[in-house]
Amino acid sequence: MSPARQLKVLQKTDFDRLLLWLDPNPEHAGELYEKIRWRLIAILASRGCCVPEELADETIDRVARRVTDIEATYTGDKSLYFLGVMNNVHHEYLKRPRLAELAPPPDDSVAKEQTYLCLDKCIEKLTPHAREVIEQYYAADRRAKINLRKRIATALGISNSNLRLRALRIRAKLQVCIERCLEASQTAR
Amino acid sequence: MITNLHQPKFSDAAIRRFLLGQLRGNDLSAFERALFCDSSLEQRTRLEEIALADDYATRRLRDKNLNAFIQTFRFTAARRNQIEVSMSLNECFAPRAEAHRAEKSLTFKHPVWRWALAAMILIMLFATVWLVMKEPQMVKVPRRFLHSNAPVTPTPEVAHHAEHATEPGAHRDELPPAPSHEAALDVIVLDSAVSAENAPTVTLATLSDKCHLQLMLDGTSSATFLAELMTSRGELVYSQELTTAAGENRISFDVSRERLVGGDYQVRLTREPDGNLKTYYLRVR
Repeated sequence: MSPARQLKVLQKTDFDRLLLWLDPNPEHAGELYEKIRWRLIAILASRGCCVPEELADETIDRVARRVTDIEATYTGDKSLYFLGVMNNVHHEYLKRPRLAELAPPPDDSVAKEQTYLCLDKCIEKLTPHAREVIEQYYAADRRAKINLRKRIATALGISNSNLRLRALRIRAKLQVCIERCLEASQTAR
Repeated sequence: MITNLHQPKFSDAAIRRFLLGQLRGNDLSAFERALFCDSSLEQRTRLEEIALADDYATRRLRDKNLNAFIQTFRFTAARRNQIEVSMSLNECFAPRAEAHRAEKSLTFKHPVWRWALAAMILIMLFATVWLVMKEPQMVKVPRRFLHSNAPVTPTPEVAHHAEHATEPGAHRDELPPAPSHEAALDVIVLDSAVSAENAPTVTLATLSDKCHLQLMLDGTSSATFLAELMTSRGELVYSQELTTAAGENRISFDVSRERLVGGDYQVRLTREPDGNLKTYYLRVR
């Protein structure tokens, strides 16, 4: 077996062990893993890191490789262990010589079109009420937005802040649906 | 052992500062730790992330926040996708608002109104030419079109012809001295109760470097407003944040003369933070 293949197999084993350490239930473990990765990325981005996803994955890899050593003795919130490792990874990143600052990739018109198509599909999947809320929430222009949102909130019998929360929750569901749709379309290509 | 009992509470503003990379020191450490321990904070942060993408897509982020957004927010694929979705949502639903706005400005687009307006301009032009030819000193007449709150200057008094004038037959009208506050004549008071059809007209030729607008307000309490000068088609020409002091029933909005060309305008005045909106109409010739 080549060293590269050996490493890959090792990582797969470590990754499975990591999930098992997080939660014996594979479904819960998967959800927890996704949450931890999102938190790591959010924190690294907030610290101004240009490659937050890369460093988050590096953090998870390191934790996965150490699970064998710590699983017997570690107590407390397991997700906090990731925060400690992430601090080290970020510290090392800051010491790296800075190459040219990475700019976000340019707009991809094909991806834009695909996002639009997925948005249409996902809006269709919403309940009529949710669709109405999201349509009205995004319909008004900048100036009229505040007034319109007040009217929608009054019509729904809820406060302005609750309307915002409701619309954002629907929007979050839309986001998940769109991401899945985009993944599916990429696989189909 | 970490418990949730002593988790600090974070406001939406603090979450936004975290997402924009504006939290520092102990606040940042506390937030990062809380993000790992408090799932409700994580949920709120996810929603605020979407709200930020929305604000960016609708160009509601300004100055410091916009710079911070560009520098820290867009470096993950998921967030770039969120921005894409926000933009698509706005493109998808915004046309309704545009259509609504177009309907409102239909009065100016209707051919009958256009012809009426053209006829009115022609009549005014002929009247002006006639007046100028008849009495050259009346060139200053167009200033009277301005709806001015400037102190009324005395009407020119016709000089009495001296019975023993040295130059018999000489017609000497003594014009009043020029007003000391020349700029005050450029002040135009706008009232939101006045419709677009009855909007006051400003003549560009009579303006100095600025057009001083005064927008009448309902109340006299101190407030901050966003004033936006727009064409009748809704294109933004100029905007400015304004603040009134308590006791004032009007607010000054100065627009550089260079920004104005002949046409119909509206000033939209939005009171912050309740969003109360008033529209004032104005014509520029």
